Parts: sequence; C-alpha cells; structure tokens
Amino acid sequence: MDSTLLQNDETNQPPAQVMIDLPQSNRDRQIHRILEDFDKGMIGLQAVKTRIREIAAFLLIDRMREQVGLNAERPVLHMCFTGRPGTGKTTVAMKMASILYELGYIRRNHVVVVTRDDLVGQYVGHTAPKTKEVLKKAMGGVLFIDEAYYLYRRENERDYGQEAIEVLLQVMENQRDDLVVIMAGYKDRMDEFFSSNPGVRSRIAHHIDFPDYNLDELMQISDLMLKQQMYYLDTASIEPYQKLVASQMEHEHFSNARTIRNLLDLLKLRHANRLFNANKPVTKDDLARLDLPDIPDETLIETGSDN
Amino acid sequence: MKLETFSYLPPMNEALLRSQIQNMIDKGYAPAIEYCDTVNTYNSYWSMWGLPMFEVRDAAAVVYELKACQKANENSYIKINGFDPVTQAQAISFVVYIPNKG
Repeated sequence: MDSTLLQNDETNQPPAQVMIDLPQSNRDRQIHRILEDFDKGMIGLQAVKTRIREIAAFLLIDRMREQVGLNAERPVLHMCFTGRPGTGKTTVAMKMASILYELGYIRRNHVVVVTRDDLVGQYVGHTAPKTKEVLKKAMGGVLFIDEAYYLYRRENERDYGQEAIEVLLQVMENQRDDLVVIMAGYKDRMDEFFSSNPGVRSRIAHHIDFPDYNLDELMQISDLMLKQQMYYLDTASIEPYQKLVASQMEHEHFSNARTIRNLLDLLKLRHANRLFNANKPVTKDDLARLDLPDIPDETLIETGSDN
Repeated sequence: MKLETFSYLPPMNEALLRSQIQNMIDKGYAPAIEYCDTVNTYNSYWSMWGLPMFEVRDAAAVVYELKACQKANENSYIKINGFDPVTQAQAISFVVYIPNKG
C-alpha cells in the first residue's frame, strides 16, 4: 500500500481524523496523468470521458476508504461499452485497463480481446473448456468481448453460445478479484442480448454508450492521424477532403474513426502513386504533403472504404 | 512422507501459494497440475489435470484449476509442476494438497 497516502501516521486515531492529502498521493498523480492523456489523445466523446473520470475517481476514493478501514468490499467492475464501429470502444478499454492497473484492481496491465469464435466451440463438450481457456489467459487483467451479442443466438436453442455465457457468468461472479470483463457492441443489439440474458446485465456495473462523431470531430481525428503519420493536407485540399468525409458519413457502413483511417490510407496510396508516376526528383515536403489530386472522387470509394 | 523441498516447510496459505505460482510464471515456466491417490516411493506416475498452462499469465488461473481438481479428486494428493520450455524439463515441483490435511 502507498504510505504517502496517509499523512498522519498515528493509526490509533479514529478514521475521521486521519488526513488524506489527495494531490499528494503518487497513485493519484499517475491516474491524473492517464486521464489527461486520455482527454487529449481522444477527440470528442465528452460523455464517455466524464463517465470514465467518474469511475476512476470512485475507484480511487474507494481505495482510500479501504486504507482507513471504511469499506473493504470490492466494487463490481465489469463494464459494457455500446456504440457503432470505430467510436473508440477498444481504445477506451485499453485506457480503462491502465487505470484499473494503476489503482491495483487488476494485477496485470493486459487486455485480451476475443469474439464469439474464441469462446464458443464446434461440437458438444468443446465450448466450456474453450471458454475456460480464454478466461484463464485473461485472468489478472481485462477480458474484452467484442460483439458480445453474437454469443447468444435466439433462433437456435441448442446453440453452444449459451454454454459459453454460463461459464462466463460463473467466473464473472466467483472470480471478481481476478478478472474484469468488458463487453462491447452495437447498442440495440446489446440491449436485445441483455433482455434475453438478464443475468449478464445485472452483473455489469457500468454501461457506457459511445456516440457517433460529428464532422468537426472527424476532421480533428484526421488531423491527429495525419500528424502522427507525419503527413499534412495542403490548404487547398482541406475543403474537398471535408466534403468527402461528409459524403462518407451518409454511407450505411460508415464506421467513424476506422473509415477515416481507411480514407487516409487511400489518400496516401494515391499520393505515392502520383509521385511515382511523375518520375521527377521529390523534396521532403513533397513526401509529406497530400495535394488536391490525391483526394479521391467520392464515387470511386463507394465500395473501397467498406470494411 | 516427505515430497519435494517444500514439504519441509510449514504449510502455505493461499496468498503464499499464489506468489509461488506467480514466480514460476514470471520465470517463463508453464504450470501444470498433477494428482495421485496412491503416493509412495515406488509410484512416480501422477495423472495430469488438463494440459500444462502455457499461456497463463496470472496465478489466479492456476488456483482456479487447482480448486476444480481438488473438487473432482478429493482423496488425491495434488502437486504443481513448473515446466521449463528451454531445457524441456520440469524445473519446479511441489505438493499443494494432501487429503485430510488440507
């Protein structure tokens, strides 16, 4: 335990009089660093950020309460992240794992990402050992179940998914100290999943919904991604690019930040091709600058950006 | 009867057991559970409980399996082995459960 948390060393004092200095604690500073990093590193998602901040604060305070002997029961930490593809569910899960790790709620800062295929077996008697195997691998850390609603198939009663859910529930309940489960998926389908498996819902403490990004946020994301990859859009091409993003947003399979990443990849491809075909000496600036001709026609990528 | 080094020490509690297993995992050894009900000097063949846990990174998973094994084989001795994948040999071995003794 962090001894710097307790400013007053006299343990025989009643808890109410022990002074705990919040900003003085190392662990607290570490949490602040992660949260700040999270606030800056991710664009938009204001509601999600607030929720994560609340959870982090709650856990930190809970740790302190434990130290002064107020409450020893471990809070339920299983979570559910809902939202459309590319809204940052997996990324936030990784951040959440770091926060839980810093606070000592998990022993290892690792996230095991699985889908239905990793949990459900092919034949009778295959599912339970397979699910247990995955759970054992994730123990001590976070298990992230992507598209968790696929575990349950209403149309087939004898589907092995039900068995996986049962094993999962058992471990979620009995090994609460060893494993944090985060489920993710589309909001409506997760709701349907929970309504047919009320046991799962009641074991999940935090339900967080990830909203879609708006155009402005998508532009900021593009900017951030380009900066990270050391590219930049020249001023003339920003507007056509924005138009392109706007047209993509109406697309049925639009998947937020992931579409943006694919779009930028396409831009980079065209950029490379243009330089290659020009067959002229290039400067450093040429290699970093994305020009107007690199912006593809929206009709061109109608199928191309689909993942 | 004395089996391996740890049997000369006082019995471990769960926290100690966990840290022993964690140490084993951190060294890169794969923990495996074995059980046997007729333990004597002539019988060195123990049955394995599942496969060695090659991918496990936390002792909790081993303890979880250990409890399952204990439940299924109440009258058996249970030990934990650490398999070293480099030398291809058992590097650590200790008995964790003796029936009627805990």
